Amino acid sequence: MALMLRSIQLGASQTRNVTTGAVTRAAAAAAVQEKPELKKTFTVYRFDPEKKGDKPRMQTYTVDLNQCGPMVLDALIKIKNEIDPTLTFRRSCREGICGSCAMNIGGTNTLACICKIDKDPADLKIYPLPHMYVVKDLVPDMSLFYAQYRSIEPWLQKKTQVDYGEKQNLQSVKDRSKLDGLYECILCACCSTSCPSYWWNPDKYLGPAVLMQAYRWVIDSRDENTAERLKRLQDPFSVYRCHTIMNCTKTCPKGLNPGRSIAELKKLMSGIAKKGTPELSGTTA
Amino acid sequence: MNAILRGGVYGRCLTRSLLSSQCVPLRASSSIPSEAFFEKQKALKRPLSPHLSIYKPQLTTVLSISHRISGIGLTAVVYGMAIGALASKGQFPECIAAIQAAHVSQAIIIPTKFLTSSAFFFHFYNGIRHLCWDMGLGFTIKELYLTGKIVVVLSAVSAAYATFML
Repeated sequence: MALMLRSIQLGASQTRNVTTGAVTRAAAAAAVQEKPELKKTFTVYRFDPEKKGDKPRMQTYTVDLNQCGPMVLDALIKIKNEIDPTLTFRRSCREGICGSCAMNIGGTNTLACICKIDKDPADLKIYPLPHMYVVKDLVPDMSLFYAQYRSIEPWLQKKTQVDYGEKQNLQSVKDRSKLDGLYECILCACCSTSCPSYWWNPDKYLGPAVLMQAYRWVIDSRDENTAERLKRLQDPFSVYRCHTIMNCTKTCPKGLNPGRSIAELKKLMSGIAKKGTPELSGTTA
Repeated sequence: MNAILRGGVYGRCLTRSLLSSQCVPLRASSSIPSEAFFEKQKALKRPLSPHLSIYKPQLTTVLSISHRISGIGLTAVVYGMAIGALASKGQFPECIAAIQAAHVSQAIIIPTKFLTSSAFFFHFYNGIRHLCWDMGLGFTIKELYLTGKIVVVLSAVSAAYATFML
């Protein structure tokens, strides 16, 4: 009996939930419909590698902002879903942590997923990351950027033999705090592709994103190849093509400061500054 | 992205460590062979995405390029005057007297004085900004914009003073 009652109650409450849910949804839909159209045009860079001899061109799309999410990525996805399925761009996490949707929006580099759409009617221009080879539409070839990242050997290096995964490398809280503002980089390449020096010397200058990671491994108290790392950067191009233009820091969608990291790297390379001795070293017993 | 790469790199390191229990030593140079990359792009006829023409002018970029242009201009002025002095027959005071005797219109003199002095003062003040950066100072966005604006205002005031008061 009790069981039956409970099941009836459960059924009733479920029905109620469903009804309220439906009512709320209907109300929400009505509210959305009541809002007038808020048109915004997006002018997007297009290039199709499969069309022979295709030249890059700009294509304009109009989206009702009241039927669209708040971010530029929402608009791009809406365009792809509803207007033009051929529009090509990278995206993944939609919350500014994967770095896939880095592009030039309204003249500066940022992540489409955390860039709010300006409600003013002026059209918004969207280009791929500047001075990169375009695979298709908003998708640039990132392989040189990744090769440069690989070249700084972004992993912990010890002079002595270490069995990895056996023991913890000790590091004091203060030494660990030196990595704050460096390790958060998501390698979206917004900074590197905003840098005129990187535009003109992409083959020899490593660019802000990669140099910030170089600095991150140089000042890590647990890393023992500091001198070798610094020596390897010692040439006229790898670091010294940085002329403190500072577009990198201005554009970083994560609010990091690659420009400052390069300056610190230069100080270490020129001997003005020294890497401090680690407060803690060795491994756990 | 970073996480994926880091995972990949760590994985590679792990494999190596299983073999030799030590990571490979660092390569001698950070320069990477990039010819293959550029050849591939050329072969695929990929366009280069627009850059200078579409990037919104930033105070950071404008001041940086102005520093270069003023530097080149000042170098040209200094070398021009030195070579001119060597080439001219008379002594310096005589040259000055000759220029004064020519009665050049103020419409030419004032802009010339303002241009040269503003180039000098801008390069001078922004040079101090560069020296501070070399010491690792003034790198936050707030400081960058504040010092940038101070340099612009200071050089305008100094150039106006040099043009009209000296």
